[in-house]
Amino acid sequence: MSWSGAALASITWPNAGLSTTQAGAPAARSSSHPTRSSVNEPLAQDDVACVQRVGRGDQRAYRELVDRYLTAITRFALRTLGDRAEAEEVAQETFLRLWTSAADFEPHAQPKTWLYRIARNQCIDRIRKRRAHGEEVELQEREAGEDRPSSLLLRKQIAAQVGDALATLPERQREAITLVHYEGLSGAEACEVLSVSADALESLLARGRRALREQLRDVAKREGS
Amino acid sequence: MTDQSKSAVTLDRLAQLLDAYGGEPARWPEHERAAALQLIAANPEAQAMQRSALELDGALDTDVLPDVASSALRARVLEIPIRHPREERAAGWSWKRNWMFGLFALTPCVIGFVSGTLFMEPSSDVDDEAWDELAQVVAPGALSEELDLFDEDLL
Repeated sequence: MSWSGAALASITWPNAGLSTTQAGAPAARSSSHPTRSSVNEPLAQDDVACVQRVGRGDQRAYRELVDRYLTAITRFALRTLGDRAEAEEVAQETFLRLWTSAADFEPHAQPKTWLYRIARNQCIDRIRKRRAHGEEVELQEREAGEDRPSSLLLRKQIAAQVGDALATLPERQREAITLVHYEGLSGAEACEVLSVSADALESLLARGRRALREQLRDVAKREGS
Repeated sequence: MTDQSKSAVTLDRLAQLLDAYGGEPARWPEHERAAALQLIAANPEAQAMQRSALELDGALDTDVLPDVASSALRARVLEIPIRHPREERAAGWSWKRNWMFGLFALTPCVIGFVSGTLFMEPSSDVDDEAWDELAQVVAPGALSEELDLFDEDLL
């Protein structure tokens, strides 16, 4: 059974087919383009050089990495924690760690996945603290239309519903979908960030997407009726 | 049937790929991408599966979060090197970074201490009687002959 409802079918998807990596580096947009890994390879090598320069106290290299990854790391933290202020704190702590620990960076690792791992660990710490304080772990709902273009009300509504559906996913499924779908990480990179095998990653992604499909199917039916 | 000699991707495997990574080939594992695309090109059922996956991708793509890194956040992050200067690290001593140098510096000291302890001749003003008593305590009986020879050498 096809998932699309009338409301969804009427939308012109802004990134139909593939989202951007949103990390500063454009991902491949179709099979006619270079593959994601070949696009990112020179960037990854440059990242390693940049981190090594940061390790020697080079502020220009630090700024380059901020330009490349600040938005992506903040967005990842926001999707994981659902709180903008906390996401900004995570981003700051991640880049503080970059500045203070770059000299200890192991060149065999990827700076991008290293940064995501730092951010992820901080998100996990914060989620644990919330649980310890008995706070509600579910993500806060984002306001419909916040930070989004106001031209298409329907699209905004759908986007808000997608955001809410994502927020209800278990933490690890949400992280997997965020990294692979929204941040454009390859499967191997996402495995490194999440410290899981390829099979485990596929399982997380599949369960997450299935749950989203189910939730958004209901949304589509409501929209249609 | 398509030619999938390089890396076989069955309809079931394609369903798994679409379930996990969605309909966009760039997200699929690189080593399975070509075979999966071949299968889709040749199989209408596979094409329908991909279309369905792309619909969910499209819905997910509506939830974009642009401009999450505010200019204030960016300014704070860029201030980190100023707030946390690195002179200490550059000028200060770090065993972690300089352990080889430390090892080279300490090695002669250790060798000198060990060789001095093991091979240093007893000073001449040591009383023979006291020396013999010490020898008896350290190696009673068994080494007495060797110690006697040692005494003779000293003389």
